Amino acid sequence: MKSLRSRLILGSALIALVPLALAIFLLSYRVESTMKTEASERLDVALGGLQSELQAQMEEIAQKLRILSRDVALKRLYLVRDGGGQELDRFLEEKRFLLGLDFLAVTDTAGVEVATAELGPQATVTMAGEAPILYQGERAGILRGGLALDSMFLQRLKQTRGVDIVLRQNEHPVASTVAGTELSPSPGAGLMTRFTIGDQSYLSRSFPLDLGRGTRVRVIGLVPAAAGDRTVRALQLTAAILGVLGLILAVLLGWMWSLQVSRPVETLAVFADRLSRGEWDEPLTLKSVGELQTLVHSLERMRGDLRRYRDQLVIGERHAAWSQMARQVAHEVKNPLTPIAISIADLKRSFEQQRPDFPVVLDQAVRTVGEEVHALKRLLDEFSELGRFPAPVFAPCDVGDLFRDLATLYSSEVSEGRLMLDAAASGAVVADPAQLRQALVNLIKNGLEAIDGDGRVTLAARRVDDGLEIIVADTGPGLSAEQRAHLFVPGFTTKASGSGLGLTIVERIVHDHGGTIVAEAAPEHGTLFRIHLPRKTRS
Amino acid sequence: MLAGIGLFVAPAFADLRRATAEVILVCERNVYVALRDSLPPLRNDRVIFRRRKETLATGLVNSTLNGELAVVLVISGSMAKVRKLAKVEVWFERSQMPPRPVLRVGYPATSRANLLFACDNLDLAFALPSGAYRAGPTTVRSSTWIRDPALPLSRPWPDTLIARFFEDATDEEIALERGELDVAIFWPGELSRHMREQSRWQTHSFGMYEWGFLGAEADSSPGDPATDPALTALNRELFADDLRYVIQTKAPLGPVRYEVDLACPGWRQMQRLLDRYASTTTRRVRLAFVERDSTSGNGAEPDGIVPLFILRCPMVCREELEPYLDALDRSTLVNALKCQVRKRTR
Repeated sequence: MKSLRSRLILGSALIALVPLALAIFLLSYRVESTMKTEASERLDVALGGLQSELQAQMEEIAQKLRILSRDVALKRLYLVRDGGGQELDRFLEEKRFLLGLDFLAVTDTAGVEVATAELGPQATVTMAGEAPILYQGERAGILRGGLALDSMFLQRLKQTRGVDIVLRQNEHPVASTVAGTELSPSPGAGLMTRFTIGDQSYLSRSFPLDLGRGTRVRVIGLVPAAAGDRTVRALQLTAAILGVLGLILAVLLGWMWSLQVSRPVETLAVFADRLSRGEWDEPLTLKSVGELQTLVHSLERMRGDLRRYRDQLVIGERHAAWSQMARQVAHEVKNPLTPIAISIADLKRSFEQQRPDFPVVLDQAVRTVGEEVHALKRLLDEFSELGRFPAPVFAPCDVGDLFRDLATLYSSEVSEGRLMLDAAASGAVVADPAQLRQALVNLIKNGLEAIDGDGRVTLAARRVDDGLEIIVADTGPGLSAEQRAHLFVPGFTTKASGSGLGLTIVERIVHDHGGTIVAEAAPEHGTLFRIHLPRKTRS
Repeated sequence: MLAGIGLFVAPAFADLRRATAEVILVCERNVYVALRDSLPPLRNDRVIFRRRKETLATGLVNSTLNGELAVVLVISGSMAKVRKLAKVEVWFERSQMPPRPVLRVGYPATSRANLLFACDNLDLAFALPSGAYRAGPTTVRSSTWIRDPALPLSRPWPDTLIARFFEDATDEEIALERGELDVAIFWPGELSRHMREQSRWQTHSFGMYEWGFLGAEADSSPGDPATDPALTALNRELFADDLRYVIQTKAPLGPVRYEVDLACPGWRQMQRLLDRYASTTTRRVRLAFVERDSTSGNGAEPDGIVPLFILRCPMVCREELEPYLDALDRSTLVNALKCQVRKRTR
């Protein structure tokens, strides 16, 4: 994760995912909250109505029982019971039907049931009331009746209230409009509770209902939460799909952006590294975004400045070398003069003293003066050659012929394997063959002097788009970058004996041919000279 | 149980008298006798049929109809061969009922209003010689009197008389059906259709309530209540014919519109019914329950009041107790109850 590219990809992925995840979270929360609010309002209305309806029904039952308990026929049938109670049973059944109750019963004051009429089996929980049967102002019996709070009853309530209903007594369901009603935990009064029955999710709210005679039940209203859940699930699925697509897009865009950003940066980094290593010749060619383009221009300007400063420095050094050369020439010229002067003084003294060994002294003096004059002459010839370097005479020149000529010249080195010339080299340029030969001889000579016994000097040539490239490489110890920078300065030499003018002459020849010469480090070790000659040299 | 046993006790007879009556039909052992006597025979009274001092047959009064017809069951002799029935003398001998050990009588309680009046207070006092009974245990809903056996009475008054007061007529009926009462006395119109239609009770009788009547505030009779559609409907529909029409002697006023006294608790029901029969006349006659002063005792009505209906209180008992009630005189039981009518004015 240290690379800029990785960070850019990660960053774009996060930019794509985090807002989406946040939006989905907030949206899901909002949907859930809205669903709960709607369910709560619906339950409030339904349960409020349900509570009122149940209370009204309880009051209605009580009222019916109060009226019925005063019924003359009931009192007579209960208190007289001529027919052994069967007529009372029939009467209760008739009244039960007419009053719309599920059961009616008459008990005596001790609670013993005297007659009863019931619709179906006895329900677990009933919404019942009772009224006294008064006889002479005193309670002579009790009329009980009511409705069975069974599933059918709840179904009727469900149709009017629009919510499912569960009835629980002592935490156990006793009737319900839905199958499988083992609810846990028990919904608290006024609290919205979410739970699942089977594979159906519900929101619920409840209220306690006092049925009298110590019977308390809890009425639970249920609203299915499936629609909201489906919405949330659809939202989450959509979010997941969008997230994956967004992630892929973000990674792709991040990768592309990282390429646009990191590639120039990498190029710049390589370029900066080259600059740091003093390789200022190759220009920086980079097309990128505006900000980087500014950086590219700055770096390129810096490279140009550095190169110009280096050239100026080289020129300065060259001037200094020339000065040094002049002083050296003077010194070299002055050095033979001293033995010459001494020899002449010895000769004069010997002649004036008429010394017997005058002939010997003369001979010695003549020999010494002759040797020193020869040395002076040789020295002056070299300087003269450098100073009066002739203008090149251009003519079509085939590099193959040139290499074959050099092979003849260095036949012994070639046979020893110390020099290898590319036999397949070919290519024609317009050049001065003699000067070009001189330049290559100087380079071969340098190389041969640099290599040891196992070393080798290699010459190769190849066509390039606009001319010919000749490469001369050796496997010698090589040069440092600083040495390579001063390589073409006159008088610069790495050897113990040498004038330091050979490579200066090579550079002069190449320059006069409109070409360039670069000294590089060879791929393995040693030094490689790359000479580029244009196909046609401008006059 | 005691009452049941009393049924089979052979009655003693006394006061043999010739009645103003005529045999009108003989059918096997039943002899039908038209009564023209002011003192009609009672059930189980012995009847002796004679012709020229010859006893033809003897029998017992099986039943009477409005004091005008008696059905006699021949128990000895025969009337089958008698041709000239009009010449047969009819002699009645009143059966002498033994006093019952206990007689339980149900009465309306003070708070039990009827259509005609509501009571501020109810007094229960039997028209018997002083000291005939002494008060026994009394509760809110019952009073007990214990007869002094040393004081002889002309009628077979029970040894112990228990009066129970019922705030609800139905409770009183139920008490009767449950056998908690021997006799139940109701205000006019109170007796339920159930009781009236049950064969067991439909032979109920009446006792005249003498402490008031339903009258019209008019100088002359508004009409014959026995023929006036409004008044007959009133009696039929609201009082189950428990009111007895008073024969009018004054000339009728002609078509009138009745207005019921607001003091009557049931004035609204009564007015609604009477309005159905109201004529277009502007002559208005006010109907009111008129309390009769107990001290007058002569039956005189206040001026400007024309009595239309006498109140008959239904008295229900088991059939076998009917002769005993006859012997006691039903009206004595009814009139023991004196209601101090709650006053209300328009």
